[in-house]
Amino acid sequence: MRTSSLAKNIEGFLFELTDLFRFIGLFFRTLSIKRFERAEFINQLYKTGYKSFFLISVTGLILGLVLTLQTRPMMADLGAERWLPNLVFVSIIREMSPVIMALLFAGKVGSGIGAELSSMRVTEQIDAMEVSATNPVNYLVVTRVLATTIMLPVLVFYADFIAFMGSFLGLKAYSNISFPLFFSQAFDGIYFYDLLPATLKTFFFGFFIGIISCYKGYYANTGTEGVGQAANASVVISSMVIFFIDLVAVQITSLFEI
Amino acid sequence: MESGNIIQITNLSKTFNGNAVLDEIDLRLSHGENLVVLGKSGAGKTVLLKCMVGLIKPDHGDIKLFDWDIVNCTPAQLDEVRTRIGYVFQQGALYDSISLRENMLFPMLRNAIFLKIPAQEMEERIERNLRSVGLLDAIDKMPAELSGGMKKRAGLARALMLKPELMLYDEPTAGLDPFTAKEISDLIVSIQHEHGTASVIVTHDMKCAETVSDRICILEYGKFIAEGDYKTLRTYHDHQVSMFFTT
Repeated sequence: MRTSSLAKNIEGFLFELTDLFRFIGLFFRTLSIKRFERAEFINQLYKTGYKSFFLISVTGLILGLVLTLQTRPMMADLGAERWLPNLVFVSIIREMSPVIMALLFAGKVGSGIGAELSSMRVTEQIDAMEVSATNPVNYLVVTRVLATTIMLPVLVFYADFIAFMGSFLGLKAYSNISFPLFFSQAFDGIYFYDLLPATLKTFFFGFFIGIISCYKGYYANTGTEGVGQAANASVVISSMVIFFIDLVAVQITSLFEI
Repeated sequence: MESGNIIQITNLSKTFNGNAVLDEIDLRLSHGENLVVLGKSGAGKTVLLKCMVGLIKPDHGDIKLFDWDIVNCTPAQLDEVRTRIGYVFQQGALYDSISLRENMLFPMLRNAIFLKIPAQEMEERIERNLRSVGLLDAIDKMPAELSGGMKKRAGLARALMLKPELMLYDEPTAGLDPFTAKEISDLIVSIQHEHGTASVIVTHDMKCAETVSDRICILEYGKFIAEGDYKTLRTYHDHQVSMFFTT
């Protein structure tokens, strides 16, 4: 009994995965053949990017501040306070900022996309688009996925900067460190290859947050319950995929000893 | 050269989870004709409409619109046919993130290259169509600010933007008070007269059917059980038909 239920779950998961890959294929096919909806794309950049700036700013500032305040006593005990800015900054740009900002982005933007598209499905707006000879995948999905793919790396860069400032404020509260000194200590030993894998993975995070949220919204079950389920599934699945991509990225970077 | 029928449906069947919603249906519609498909809730009326515009793929059967094979045509061909059709959804299906004006503009902008509509002409059509449904004053409102009846009228105006030759109405009067329902029914008739469009109206509203129909088909258990004009069908002695007229 339990085995058959497990088998059913696995079968359901595999079907869902196949459908998702088919949807990704549809996205790339549509992107390559259809006229690009520039105005809607810019609108989505504004919605996904600009409207997330406040949340990212607050989180980035607190991230830098808290990380510095938590780490400082230990580093001071070890007599390695000089290394604190560098330690904090490396951990922020390589791991903390991309993953935390991606999770926030999935929660804010991913759930929004899932809820918006599913309610459009429920209220027949997607059908209306189709019967007016407009390709809904081109208008709704391509623009949103491209916007999330482009905006998340931009937001992560911005969050890095804000966290850097937060870290400086945290350290400044306990010492007389000047900004130029903090800057040089933070960037001492930071190389291009610290930034490259972190940036590359944020493109993947953004792409998968966008495509998963669009997929869940686009194929939502009818009824208001379907809207809630789509928004919820968008966040949960995107978050899991973020950790999975992060794991793969870490393996790849270790492979190349970066 | 197109044949005399705008719609020609043969042996159309559609099953959902083993339940035959449409069962070997035949249907035709002539130019300028208003056909009402009457049936109870869940009889398959909306499925029939959605099959006609390619939103639902039938299990088997042929659907020809303007002599185009809807079931087997390419997406580009389907889009071309769809520019000749206006579809009015049950709840209006207005895009709720944009204003009423942008809703009207939407189908024209998306098909601007194909249909070559000048900007001036677009503005004129928006004004003309919104005036004809009495919503010109609400042009800059968002769909959330409109009442149910206004949404339906706006959906109707939007369906007319590409000057369709065929109008498909999905329950145009459902959920409306009798006065608004009559307004919508009168609008359907005036659209037929002014634009010369043929229409398929699916409904279970007998008042609406009486006002708008040239011909009525009654859909029951996936099949058409009766066909004729309103007066003829009213005199039918078959229980399944007469119950529509007595309840």
